[in-house]
Amino acid sequence: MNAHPKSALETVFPKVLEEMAFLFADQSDALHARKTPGDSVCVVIAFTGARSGTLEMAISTSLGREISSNLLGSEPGETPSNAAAHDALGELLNVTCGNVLTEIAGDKPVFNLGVPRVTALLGDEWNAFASDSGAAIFNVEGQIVLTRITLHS
Amino acid sequence: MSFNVLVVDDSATVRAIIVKTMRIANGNVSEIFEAGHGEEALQVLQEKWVDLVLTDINMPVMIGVELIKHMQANDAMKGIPVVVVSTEGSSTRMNELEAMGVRAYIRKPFTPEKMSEVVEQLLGAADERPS
Repeated sequence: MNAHPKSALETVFPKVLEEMAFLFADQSDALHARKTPGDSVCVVIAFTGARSGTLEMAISTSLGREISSNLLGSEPGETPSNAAAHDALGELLNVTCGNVLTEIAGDKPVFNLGVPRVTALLGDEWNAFASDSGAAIFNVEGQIVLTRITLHS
Repeated sequence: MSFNVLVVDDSATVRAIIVKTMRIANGNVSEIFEAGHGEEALQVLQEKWVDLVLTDINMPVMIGVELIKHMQANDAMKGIPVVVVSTEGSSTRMNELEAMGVRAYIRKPFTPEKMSEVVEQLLGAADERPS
């Protein structure tokens, strides 16, 4: 178990990304994360149960497409639609959420995970997320991914 | 003997991964039906012959636990083996599902080998049952 949410994310997210999408995530920092990617989205999943809260991930659309292609085993040159990329990112966050909650709370408590929501992210929002000391920041294939878990109770 | 499988998950990505895995690794799978939540799954189960159900837990409209309860309450559906494929790692939840008759639990992320092994075991066992 790892009771510190940020530390739990730093352990779980790279494992899930590697197992699902065959991509490697290295820890990065706010300094490198302040360069806003051109086109990015925020994926949010809410959970209730033994603890309630949210898990968020900010990621560039281009990396989202790459993750979708890897998950689906797409042929080279086959570009997934935005909808497919969003669905893949939602599933990546869903799996991360389930595994990070076990990392934080152990395997006894029951959690109910909501449906992932994907919204466009503006440059200011990206910068605010990157500056949050609770954000776990990763470098994936040269692109920054921001993640954050917020526990309400 | 060939079998029909129903895959229930709100993520089209997950359904596609499972379908692809079974098409490659489980030669005795004939038709694979898909549903985005429990209610759609019940509709498919009423209309089609299904030998195995693979379902997620957390879904909109009707969650996997409710789907399993509905199946258990229906004489025509209660004998169909159910495998839960979910991100949840709660042993409490797994014990509840086992008590409800769930035959196997595959935790996400899963490998194609794990999925294929569980499906093969259950369909293989069904194949050995006297007709």
